[in-house]
Amino acid sequence: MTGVAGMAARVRRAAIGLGLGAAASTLFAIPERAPWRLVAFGGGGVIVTLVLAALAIGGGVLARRALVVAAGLGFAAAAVVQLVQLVLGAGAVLGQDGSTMALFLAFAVGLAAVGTAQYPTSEAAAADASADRRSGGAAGPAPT
Amino acid sequence: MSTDVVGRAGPVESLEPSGLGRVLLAVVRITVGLLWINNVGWKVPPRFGAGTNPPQGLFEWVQKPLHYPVFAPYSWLVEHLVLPAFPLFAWGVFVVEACLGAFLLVGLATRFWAVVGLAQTVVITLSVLNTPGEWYWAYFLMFAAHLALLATAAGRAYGVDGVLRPVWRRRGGLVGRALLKAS
Repeated sequence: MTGVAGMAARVRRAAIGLGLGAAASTLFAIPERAPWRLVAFGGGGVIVTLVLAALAIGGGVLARRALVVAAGLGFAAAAVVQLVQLVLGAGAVLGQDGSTMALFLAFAVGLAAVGTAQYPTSEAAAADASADRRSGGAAGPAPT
Repeated sequence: MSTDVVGRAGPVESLEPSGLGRVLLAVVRITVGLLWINNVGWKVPPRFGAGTNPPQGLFEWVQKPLHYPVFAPYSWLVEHLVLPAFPLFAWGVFVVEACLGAFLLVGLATRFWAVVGLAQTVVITLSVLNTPGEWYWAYFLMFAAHLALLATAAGRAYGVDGVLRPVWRRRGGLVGRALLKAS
């Protein structure tokens, strides 16, 4: 599978992978102490993470970018709420320290990057290929 | 001549990770990401341990180079530059380490964040290498892990970089080129 269809499929798989990763990260809530309690989840944090992970997976499966972006924005909001809780010394609803905030930030940037990736539609790719043929050029990736 | 490099010592095999190699690279990247995420946990805003007697948390650890100097100019910097502006410095550490964990975990702009991780490892090493009870190999291993992420561009193995590099290449422009370099 190549071209636009391949790119769309890769982006969808990335959203699903990030969602599965987010869901799996809630396993860190099970251990009670170091070294395995790498992320200090609160009960609310587990629920929020599982809901947003389901949203990301749904967005990937259904090829709905809006759902993927919404999941990313949800994680960003959760990171902000966790930071505000830390600064105010408020209760540990989502998590108990900054590790939860950093984890939310990870899935926020990952899902936002994947959900907002600008790749050409099938029509635009066909137009590009047509232009390449007319100019006699061979479109290929630039070396980096 | 084949694509292998041939010298006096004979051919040198090119380094192309197998399927398993890519999985293992992703494991290393995710582990390093979790290292930073986990260590954001004991840095508690907004005071980061300042204002307590004895000092706690980040404020306690920032003072280690004064008690157990590793490199005299660095200790001078901590005393005259970092401690007087501790809140600003502490927020900087908090944000940088949270971003290190976040971006390395998902593999976004991995080479850039590997360089940031190396820089942060230098700072940590200069702060605590001579502190009693510290296992100095921990800091050497942190260097090695970040060098490995940088050398292998590890975000391309099951990371967001691997998915989005073709998009950035097609996009071109300053941002596209910067993201390609960073990934």
